[in-house]
Amino acid sequence: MAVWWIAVKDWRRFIRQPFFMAVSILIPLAFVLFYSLIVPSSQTNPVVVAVEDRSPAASRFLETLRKVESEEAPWFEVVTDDSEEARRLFDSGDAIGLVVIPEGFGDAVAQGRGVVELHVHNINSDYSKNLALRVDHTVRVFEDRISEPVIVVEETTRFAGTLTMGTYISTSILLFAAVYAGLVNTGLAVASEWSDRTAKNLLLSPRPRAVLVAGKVLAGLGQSLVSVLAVAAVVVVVFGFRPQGSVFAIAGLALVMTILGAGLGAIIGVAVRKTLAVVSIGIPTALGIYFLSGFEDSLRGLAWDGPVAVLWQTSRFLPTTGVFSVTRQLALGESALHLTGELLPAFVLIPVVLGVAAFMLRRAFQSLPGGQ
Amino acid sequence: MSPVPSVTDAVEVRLESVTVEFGRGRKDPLRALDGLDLDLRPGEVTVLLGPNGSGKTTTVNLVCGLLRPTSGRVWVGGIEAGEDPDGVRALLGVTPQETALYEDLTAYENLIFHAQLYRVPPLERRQRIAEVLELVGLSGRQDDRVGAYSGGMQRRLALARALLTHPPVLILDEPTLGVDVQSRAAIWERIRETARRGCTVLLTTNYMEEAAALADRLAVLDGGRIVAEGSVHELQRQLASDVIELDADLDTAGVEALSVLAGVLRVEGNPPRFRLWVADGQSTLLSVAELMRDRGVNARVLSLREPDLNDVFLELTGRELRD
Repeated sequence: MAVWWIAVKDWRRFIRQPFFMAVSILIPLAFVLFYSLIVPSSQTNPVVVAVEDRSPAASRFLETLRKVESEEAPWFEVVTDDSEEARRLFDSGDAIGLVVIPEGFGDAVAQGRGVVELHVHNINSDYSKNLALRVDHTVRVFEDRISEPVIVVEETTRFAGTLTMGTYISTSILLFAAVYAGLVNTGLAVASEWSDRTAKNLLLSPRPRAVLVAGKVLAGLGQSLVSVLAVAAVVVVVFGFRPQGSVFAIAGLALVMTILGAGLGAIIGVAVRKTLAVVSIGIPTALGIYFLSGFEDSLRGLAWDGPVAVLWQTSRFLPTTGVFSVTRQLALGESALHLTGELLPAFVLIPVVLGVAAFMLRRAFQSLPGGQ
Repeated sequence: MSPVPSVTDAVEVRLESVTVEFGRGRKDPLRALDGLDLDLRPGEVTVLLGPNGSGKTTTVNLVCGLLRPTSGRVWVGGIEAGEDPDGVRALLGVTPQETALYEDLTAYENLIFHAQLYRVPPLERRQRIAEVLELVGLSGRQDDRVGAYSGGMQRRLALARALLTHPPVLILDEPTLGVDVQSRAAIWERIRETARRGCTVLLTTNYMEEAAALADRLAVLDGGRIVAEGSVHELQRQLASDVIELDADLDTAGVEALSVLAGVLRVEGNPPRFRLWVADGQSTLLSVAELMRDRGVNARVLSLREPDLNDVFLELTGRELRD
């Protein structure tokens, strides 16, 4: 029961300290906000289309342009197909991409020499490349309709289905929130006893030291639950995150990451014994796990040489990478059972981290240096 | 006000040849306590006096089981502190120097948490909290957050928390540090009453007035050793001297003449105020008066007194500043 009382005391303190609450919840939510701006803009590119040919081929191309899409969204949002309006919007800079279907397009297509033009305000090379590739793909889809395909693409996905950007980001943010909340909340719960000079109250109690340790971990986990649930609710609303697989299995993995975070937080908290230092160390630690393990697949695509290759190799060996990967597979509806192998490194790491945390906490709760 | 509850079991505390060294792996380890022997008896207030770094808090931490001695043993009611620290802690009520109160909790919430940690029976918790809050004059403020309390109120609450569990041993580490006169008087009264009811009380302080007011027995610590022990009166008599206070415009030759007077052990102070340590107060006082008359100097103050605790303390521990 003492474990519970310690946790209740910490929760009471937590809700009375706006700084703690803000640190615990706002950082993951800031990520959600950031990606909520980035993801939609990378999903659909607004373009204006100047249709200067009245042939059926021009209409078909425009229709194709409107219909090409990825798993999660159309590639283009055609703002207007009025030639005059399209050129005006592009010239004024209100439109970044202008597709021109020139006069005589229908005849040219019939002769096998059809051409469309893409005009781009180059705001950055990635955006320009995106538009070029998407228009190029649209042309290919259009050609496939009128003749034999000139290229056959065969995709082999790592997962059971195509992972949408929203799901990919949602799982990453959810697990980041879990590890971050566990780390920061437990770290703060531990360090605040020394920062606020209240540790002696616990040290002097006639309770086994293991009870004090368990109380602190429970306090951190409870506070983290609030943060993780808040973030989960937001990713469901903002990114439309709807896991096809077991929600319970995903929640279980979020709990695993929270426990890992709590262990790391306890270690940091007892080592530095200052709340501000816990936050300063906790944020980059959780971000490191997020960027390395949460984006292992993205790193893989870039890891030809240099520092990115090193980062990718590092991410492969991080035990947390498997948890991110399995969570994504679960989100796509795969069975949890055959994925346990990927989780093994994390399941080995967690008891080790908790063991170190318990040892350090016990030692800190055991004795004091002189004069304190 | 509620009376302090009686202690059912008298508990003695004994420190036997206790040595504590910090940084033992280092080249020059710090010896915080050096062969300390100390008995704390039920119904008595034992005051530990000592300059900064003398080992007072180390002694408190030892008794609380927060430190293990490098050598020697600490017994609390027949339990060896190193072997069963939780058992020892169950017998103690402690007010740490820093109070260790949660400032964002109310007084009631602080006390209920303490009662839960110390296994106070659930049905008794409310009543006991009401009693100890009344005891320290904080009944009307139990729902205020401790952060809004003055320093004196926090000290009184810390004392209430220590008394909540009806401990047979009460340990008070500088319990009136930085509090006003009224709070200090209230805390002193509660401490005296607690000891009268059979509690073993250990108190550390830097205030001589507090030590003189509360101590049944005094132990003066310096450099990790007890350099004197006994009642206030016994310690005062240990100096085997009296003090003459003199306020007069003496020149250098006059001061020289004072210092070689029969019975004068030493002269302290600067013109015009002098303190003379003398072996036989009455006869030396007459000699000083004669010397003043012979030199044609009017003494504004010439008085004889026993050495006070401040004199004893400075005599025992020196005037060198400590960090």
